Amino acid sequence: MTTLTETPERVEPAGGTVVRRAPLPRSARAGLLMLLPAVLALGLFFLIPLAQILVQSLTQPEPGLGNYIALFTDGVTIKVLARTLVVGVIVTFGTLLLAYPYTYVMTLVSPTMRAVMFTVVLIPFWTSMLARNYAWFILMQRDGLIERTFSAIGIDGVVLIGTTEGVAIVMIGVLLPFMVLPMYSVMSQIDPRMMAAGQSLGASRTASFRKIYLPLSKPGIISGCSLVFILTLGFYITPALIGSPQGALIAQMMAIRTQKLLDFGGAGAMGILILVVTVVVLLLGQRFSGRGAQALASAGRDAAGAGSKGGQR
Amino acid sequence: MRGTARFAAIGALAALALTACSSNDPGSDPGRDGTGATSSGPLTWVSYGGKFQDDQVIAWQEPVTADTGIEFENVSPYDPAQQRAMVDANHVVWDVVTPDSVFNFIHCGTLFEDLGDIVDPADFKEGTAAGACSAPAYVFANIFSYDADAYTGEVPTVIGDFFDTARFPGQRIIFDSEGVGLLEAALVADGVSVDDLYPLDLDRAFAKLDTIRESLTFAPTLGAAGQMLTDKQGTMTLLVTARTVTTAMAGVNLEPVWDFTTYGAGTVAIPKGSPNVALAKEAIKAMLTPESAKLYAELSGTAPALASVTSADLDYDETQVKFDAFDGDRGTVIPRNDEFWAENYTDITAAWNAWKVS
Repeated sequence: MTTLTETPERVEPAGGTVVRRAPLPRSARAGLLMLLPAVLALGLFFLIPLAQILVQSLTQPEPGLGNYIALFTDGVTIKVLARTLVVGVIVTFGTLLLAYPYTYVMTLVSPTMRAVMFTVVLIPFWTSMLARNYAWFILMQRDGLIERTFSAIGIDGVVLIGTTEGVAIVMIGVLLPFMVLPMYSVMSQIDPRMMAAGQSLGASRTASFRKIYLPLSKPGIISGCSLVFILTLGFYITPALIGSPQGALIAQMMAIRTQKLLDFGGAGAMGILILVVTVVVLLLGQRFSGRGAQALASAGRDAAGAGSKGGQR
Repeated sequence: MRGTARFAAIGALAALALTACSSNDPGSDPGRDGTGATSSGPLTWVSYGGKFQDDQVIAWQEPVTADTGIEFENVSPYDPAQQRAMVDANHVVWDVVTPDSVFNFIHCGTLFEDLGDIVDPADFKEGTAAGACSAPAYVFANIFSYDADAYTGEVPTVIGDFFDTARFPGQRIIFDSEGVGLLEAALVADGVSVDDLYPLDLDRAFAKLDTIRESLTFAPTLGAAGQMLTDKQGTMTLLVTARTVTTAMAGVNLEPVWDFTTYGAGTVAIPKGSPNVALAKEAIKAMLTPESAKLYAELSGTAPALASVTSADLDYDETQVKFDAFDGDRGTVIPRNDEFWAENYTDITAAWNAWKVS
């Protein structure tokens, strides 16, 4: 085992932060080399096509910003984008409400039970996305199980197929794992003794939850919410199948542009617009998490942990 | 640490090598070299899969293979955007495709090869041979039909009844596309005479559609439309022939209303820059025979596009006869004006989407 032959200088200013100013040691160089395949893959399969899309949106059908201006003036795109953002907020909020208690319980139970709860949350990842959507389709249609159940208790006409509410419900179900997993990775690190310490100092159970646990779980909430919101922005299958065209979301508009009109420039402009919105959302999330870059890094870590478990849409 | 660095270097080289190899080149198969040189290699036939494509194999591909020895390789689904990407990149790997006739008309010459030397419009039914790049293969009608189980007393008899939710309540199921004959039906129901139908008055059509907006159910695919009817999600529909026949055979008590019906043609075409243009043209020419037309019509329930084959020549079963738009007196049956649709496609699509979303 080789030992480090270069010792990095350590400068310790009063604040206590450590700053390295030496040339990179061998371990860092090896690390960069290990990063190289991933960077190459990212560059080739993501950055280059993205650049192509950007160029196409600026040059087809004519060079200039025509496609982007058209997005704001055609009366349809902005309306649909606004609707998509609203659905995104609703779905994120709904998923958070469902996932938070579930994740909290996951941190409290025994390891066996926790494994069971993990599996329950992950089962959707192992089933086909299309099969799940069709299953919801059958449940939600006229005279389907949902309408019949509600009629049995006296509420008639609960037909969720073709409505934005139906789409939101299915999306919440589909995106639940994406909220649970990042939140779990943060919540599992919160020391439960802190809650006990708060109570022993006189706080009620709700107060100690609100003032101790909730702020500590905030990074997990932010990363989970960011992930779910960004995924909703690009969702295609669920709105196309469960929703009605009158409630079309932005991904369906892009599909029409690409497949029917072959307007690659216009569709590309729409895609770039959504990318900008996504980046803005991420930055806002970083701002709200309150701990700056550190929080963003942890959000990235949590999201990566969740995202690696299933990337289907 | 040295071991890690070496490992990482090998990993990077492996990634590079994989990337280089993974740009797979189907054009390097024997029989297809991607440079436009023809050979006797299999032609890549691209359509929408399922029974639709199976019928094409039986009725069109197998007789051609038997006559000329040309083999086919079937691929699905047909994606117009993919075709455009291939043509732009100058690397087309499809030889024969089955596009929508309006799409074919719009992109004739840019995305499709000219078929003027093998297709004579005079041989085909009126209104089917639109544009120089299409070989009309079959004719479908947009049939207005209703579920007879839903309307026991009064039944719909004219196209206006589709828009009469007072006398005939119930959901109308339509395939989510602007070209299914809905706009034409709306105008005729609103009182426009058939001769003045084109150019389409879009505002008037959408105003008419607004009157039944709550009762319209859009189906994401043709299959979903049929399934919705089977599941009693709607009572009326405006649906293409083949799907109407399939749904009726699935047990839905559908009755057609023969008052005003539009029809269109399904086409076969060659993508521009296909590696086997001459061979594909030969195959298409061999396909356009009365025998093949008759066989496909009987398999799918659609009508033949060749003018020489009429309903009398066809050996349809009961259901197919019931929904045959060309058998005897079926009211007004007119072709969709593909030229108008092609010229105004972008505007119509934009207006359609704006109307749907509003």
